[in-house]
Amino acid sequence: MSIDAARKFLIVSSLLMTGGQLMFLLMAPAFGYPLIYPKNLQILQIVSPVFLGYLGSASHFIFQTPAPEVPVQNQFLGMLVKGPLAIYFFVVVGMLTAYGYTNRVAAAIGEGISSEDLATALSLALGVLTVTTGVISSYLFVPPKPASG
Amino acid sequence: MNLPLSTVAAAALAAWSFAPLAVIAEPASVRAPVACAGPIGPPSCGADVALQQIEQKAAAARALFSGCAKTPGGKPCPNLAVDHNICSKNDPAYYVWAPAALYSKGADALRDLLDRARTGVVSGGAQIIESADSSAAERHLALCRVRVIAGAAGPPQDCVTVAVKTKSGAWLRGGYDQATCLEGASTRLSSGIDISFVVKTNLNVTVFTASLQKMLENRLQLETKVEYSTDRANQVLAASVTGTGGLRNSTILDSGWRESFDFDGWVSTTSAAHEIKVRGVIKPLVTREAVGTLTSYEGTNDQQRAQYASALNADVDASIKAVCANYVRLDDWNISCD
Repeated sequence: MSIDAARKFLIVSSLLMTGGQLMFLLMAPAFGYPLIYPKNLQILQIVSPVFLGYLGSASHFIFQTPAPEVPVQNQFLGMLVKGPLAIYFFVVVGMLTAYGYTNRVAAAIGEGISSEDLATALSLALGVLTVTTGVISSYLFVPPKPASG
Repeated sequence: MNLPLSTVAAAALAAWSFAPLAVIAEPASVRAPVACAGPIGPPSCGADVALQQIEQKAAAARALFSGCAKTPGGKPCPNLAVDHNICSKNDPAYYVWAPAALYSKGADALRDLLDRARTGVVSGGAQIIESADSSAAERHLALCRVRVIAGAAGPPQDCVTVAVKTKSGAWLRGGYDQATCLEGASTRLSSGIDISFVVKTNLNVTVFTASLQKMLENRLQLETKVEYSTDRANQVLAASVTGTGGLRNSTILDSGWRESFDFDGWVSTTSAAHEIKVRGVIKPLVTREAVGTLTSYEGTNDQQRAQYASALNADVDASIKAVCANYVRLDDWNISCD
């Protein structure tokens, strides 16, 4: 994977994740999903800042022309850009599905996942991103150097 | 009077020819289910009334109109309650059913209801429909709530029968529009709900206690315990009725909500003669999750608290009414029961 392809992948996936999470968590309670207000907003507070951080760095970065060169071992880049985001995606989809299913109207009491447990699981998934994508993002979207003098 | 055979034959032929038109001439109405079996049904499901029930209470209803006058200080006449629910509720305690002719402008109201049922017009967030169970011999007209957004009306909801038209006449729902609604319940800042009634009666504490206990077990599905306090003559002065419910699907809130609450009730004599006080306190905890730990349950919000207050008010009231041969709700707290 080239450096530019990695940057594009991070930008597109961050936009999709942010949009998808916002849409789902804000709208789902209106359609009977058991994560009612304000618990849905509390989950959004946990999952949104990471992706907003990536998008913020990318927004700064696009105003640097030419882009600074980044030395990288390309054979590992693709794996570490795509892998953690895929893990995060599947964990989020899986946990939100499990939360909705175990707390459905017909679910037996004691079967449900609490919103606190959901928040913990999503935080763990975010941890994977923090130690991989977060570091990669800091190299890919190098901030402009402060003017000397 | 001798009529020519041809005239009689022509009249018979005309009567036979136009007979089907009498059925066809009964204009079709907007129809929707009102009485539904089971907790899940179309949004129009609400409360219907049986003609038999109306006829059973006809004499008592007629008595309310006898000698009533619209002059201040006189015995007030029941008003029509066909275009609104008194206190926004369908509590039978608020209503009487009487022939249309007894109401002032009853005939006009009936005509208007039939017209609205035929056209399906939505006015003031309400619509009149005909119950899907209606027959040509017994038509039930119901008042429904309708949500209107940007001029587009939604389906009829929570329909309540307000008129029953039979071949022999028509019955309309009426009642007294009251300044205060009948709620013997009040809420505390700590989200607790108090229910309190004072019953003027010749019956004793044990009768009301047994009825309250039965309601807690059957309606609210609580495990109950009763303790009596007696005087030296072994006469029961008071009873404490405790109901305990574990974590369960709510019997009061919408489906999907789980609840846990205890009911602490007291039935006691008061210092006044022939007076019994029935009190109850609950503090429900609820959650929308199917979790099995009480720490995940929270206090109710304002809307849920109102739902609990209203439901428990109705349930405790019903438990008192169940033992009264002659029940009269005097105001929001006081009941006369013989």
